[in-house]
Amino acid sequence: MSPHKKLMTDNSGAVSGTFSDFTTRSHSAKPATASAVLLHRSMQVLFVVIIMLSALMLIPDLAWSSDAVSEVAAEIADEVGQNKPTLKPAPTMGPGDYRQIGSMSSRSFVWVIAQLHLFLAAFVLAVPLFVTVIEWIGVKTGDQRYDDMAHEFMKVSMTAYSLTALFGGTLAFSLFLLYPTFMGYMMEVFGNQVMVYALLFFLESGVLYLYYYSWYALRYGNKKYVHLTLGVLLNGVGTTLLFVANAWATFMMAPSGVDDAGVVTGGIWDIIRGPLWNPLNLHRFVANIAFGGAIVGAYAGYKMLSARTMAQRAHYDWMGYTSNFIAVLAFLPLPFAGYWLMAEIYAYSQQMGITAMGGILAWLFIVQAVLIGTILLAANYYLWNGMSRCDGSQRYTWLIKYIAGTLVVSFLIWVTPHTLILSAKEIATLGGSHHPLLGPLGIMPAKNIAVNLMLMGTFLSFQLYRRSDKVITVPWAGFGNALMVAIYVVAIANIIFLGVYYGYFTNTVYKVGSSVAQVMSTLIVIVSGVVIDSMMFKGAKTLPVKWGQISNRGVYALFALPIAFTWLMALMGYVRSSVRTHWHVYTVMKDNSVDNFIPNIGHAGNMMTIATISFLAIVLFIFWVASLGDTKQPKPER
Amino acid sequence: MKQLKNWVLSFVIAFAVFYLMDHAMMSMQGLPLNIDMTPAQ
Amino acid sequence: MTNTATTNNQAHSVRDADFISPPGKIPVIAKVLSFMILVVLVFTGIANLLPQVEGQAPKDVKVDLGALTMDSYIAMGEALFKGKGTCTLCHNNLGRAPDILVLNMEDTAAERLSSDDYKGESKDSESYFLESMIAPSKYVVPGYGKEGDPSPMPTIDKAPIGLTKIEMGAIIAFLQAKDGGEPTVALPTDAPVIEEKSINAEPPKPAANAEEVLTKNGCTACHAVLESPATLGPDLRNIGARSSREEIRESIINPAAVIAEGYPPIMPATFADSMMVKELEMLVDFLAASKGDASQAEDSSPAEGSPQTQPSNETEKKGE
Repeated sequence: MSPHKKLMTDNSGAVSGTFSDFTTRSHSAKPATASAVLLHRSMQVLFVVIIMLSALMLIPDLAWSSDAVSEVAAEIADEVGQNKPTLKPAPTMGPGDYRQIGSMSSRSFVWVIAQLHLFLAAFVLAVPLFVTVIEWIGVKTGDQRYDDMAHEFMKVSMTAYSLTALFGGTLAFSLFLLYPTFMGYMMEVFGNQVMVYALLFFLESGVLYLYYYSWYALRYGNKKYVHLTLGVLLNGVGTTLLFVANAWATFMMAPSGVDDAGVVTGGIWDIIRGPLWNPLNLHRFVANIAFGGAIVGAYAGYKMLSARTMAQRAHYDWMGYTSNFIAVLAFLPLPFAGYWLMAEIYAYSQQMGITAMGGILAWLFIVQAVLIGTILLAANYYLWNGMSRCDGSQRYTWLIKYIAGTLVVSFLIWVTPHTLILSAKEIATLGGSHHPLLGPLGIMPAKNIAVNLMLMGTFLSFQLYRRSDKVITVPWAGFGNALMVAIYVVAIANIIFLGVYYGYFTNTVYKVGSSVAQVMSTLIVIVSGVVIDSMMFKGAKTLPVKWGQISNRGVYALFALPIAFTWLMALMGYVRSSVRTHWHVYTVMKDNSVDNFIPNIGHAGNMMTIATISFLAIVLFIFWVASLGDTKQPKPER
Repeated sequence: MKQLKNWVLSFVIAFAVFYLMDHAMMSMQGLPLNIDMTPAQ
Repeated sequence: MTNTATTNNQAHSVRDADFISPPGKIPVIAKVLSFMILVVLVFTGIANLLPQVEGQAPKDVKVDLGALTMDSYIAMGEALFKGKGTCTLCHNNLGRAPDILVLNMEDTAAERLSSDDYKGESKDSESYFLESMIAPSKYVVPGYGKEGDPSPMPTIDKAPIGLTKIEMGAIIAFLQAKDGGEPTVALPTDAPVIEEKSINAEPPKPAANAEEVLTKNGCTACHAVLESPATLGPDLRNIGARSSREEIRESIINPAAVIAEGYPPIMPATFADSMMVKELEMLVDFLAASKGDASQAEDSSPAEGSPQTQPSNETEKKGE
């Protein structure tokens, strides 16, 4: 098919011309008969049903914790033969049960390989999620640019897919090579479930290739719904893959379905559905989207900086803006998902929670503060620079310096280590491994104020950006604006009051209690801001936006974001894994290898940097290969 | 005049919303608001 | 910083023309890459600037039941309470759990046992402390935990803490004795309940060398000595040049006697009890000989990797 090949070329301007021809042709060729309408409807229904089914999967507690479902699952597991008790306790391991490659630390080796696999997997799973949404927006608005952009995002993730599999294979081999006894036990516990994972991987590959390569074959009319359905299916399979793999990690942190000695007592479903599984599912799912958005943002930023024509620059500016939007939108709810995960960890084992938040790992949360601060500052900086795309933004530019000031001050408060420093006496009495303070991070009032103000400032920047290209015309605009200002003012006052009053004048219980109200204040601002704005934007006059008209310096924020996200992911993954301390499987299987200690932060940081820079190199390769596909060697003259 | 009314009304609404929210959040955790500066517990 | 100038120029040319002039001398990829690597290095730097502490896996301490006195049993209990038992993670002044180190536990136990709320089966402080450890939910002190929920306290004789009966006994002895009371708990005699860990219970050997004494007693947490760069206490790498053997011995046994100028008086006074004579002498010899960098290696047996990175070392040494 010639149109197919022609459409593969990546030049939005030229291509959309071809597309519109194509559209008209296909539309006129098909008169709207009753059967066609029926087909169209049923496609839509199918699409919606699948969306709802996958949405149901995303509300894990609804779908999965109901006893009926688990009973059915247990029955199925019985039939598959999973439920036969094997009655083997977890083996006790000595130093001889571990292998090494030369003198290389096995932990370090597996650390980097696993991290790279996770980076790539997160990216590969995330991209189709927002690509399908963007594709859907394209269908709804009829704007071809969305479709082109969605396709370009997919193109970038295709190369990453095979690399994910390669690193996954390497990871599996190295685990079996270096930790044979441990992996033997994990296989004992999970049994056939790992083959389900393998099967899903085949399915994922099939649907992914189908989704990507049928993009132009199924582009208009009813066929588009077939394609969208493929996209939803792809995400369903991908998300299930993620959840299946999460079960291994959460089993190691909080084993379920086994007894104290590690003997498998429950069915596979009991093993999978540990107390941390759903919180981790949600957290990773949301974080992946933010991460994926940031990576494609860097792609767009790079393409924009090296663009040769104004049209290209405008296209990639818009793409970069959208990516940044996705990343930040997914990033904002992450603290809440993290809060849930942490709360479940505390509920499962206080000791584990305190090890993470107030014990030896607590310093890592200072680094986390730096990273999140970097992300928020970069995102804001990008929004402020982006306001230059529209002349209407001049109405709001005076506010930026105050937002910037608040962000910087809050950031500094946040990263200042305060009560956490170990006093000499404490080190002496505790043997240097644990710290009795809960740490300033969970409850420390000043930091809570700072974090909430930063989130609110970021939302304000976002709100101003959205308002910059609109002239509001609703008659109650005066009241709407006053209400918005009042909400901000009272919310800020409330957050500061709660932090100072309950934080410094009452006891711990109140500090924790008031932090919930602080977070709610921020949420109220965000929700009311979205609601009030969307009502005020009705009938608003839109001012032109000049895509491409952003300073190159502003675009660099798009490179700071993925770096901070990548490093942050490595950091938090390390924390999640390290709370097990000297256990392979917490409380069940001890880690008796030479690496069973928690390394110091510097060492951990260096490992994260090695992983991040390797990932950066891989991503550059991916981008380069993606653009190589568009390069055609001219036919030699002779 | 209308402007003034807008502002006053807005602040009253915002104040009420946040006060009630604080109250709800604290009482959900079994804590009084304890605004009178008495030491808690 | 050189980037800024070029990017500004480019930004202007963008607004003027449809076709963008090729970027400056430095290719975009180089600029972007160096920017990203710079950001990574900032993060790495911060991680390396923070205090560097390693968390070691708890080591199984072997107890010589024959040589055990009540005093050393109490001391063992205190060490377990603050170390392997991880009790101080929650039992501290932050309100998460009763602050055991501050409360008079004998009085507290009597108060709890006579309270109407008390539903457990204990009759005296010894059984109450044991009950609190092996069945924390039997009785939750009012104001702690959540209503209806089991106690948030882990069961102490189960994983991940997994203290043995002897170890829990030591903690009970410590709790009873710490405010001047008389421990009622019986000293464990031989033929203990064999736990898998204590199968090869053998007499405690004194530390093999001065370095082991230093790490065992946590000296490196505050003092610059061995590999440690800590600065909370005086630098010990050249202590031999500053102090006599007698002064060094005195400072270990009775730290409060002379406080080095500019340092807080925080050194624990417990070493006189916890250190064996042989260990103390080894340590004094080692420190007296520490007159600068060159003399470091003196008096130490062959280097055997830092115990922090190789937890199995200790057991191996024991088997010698």
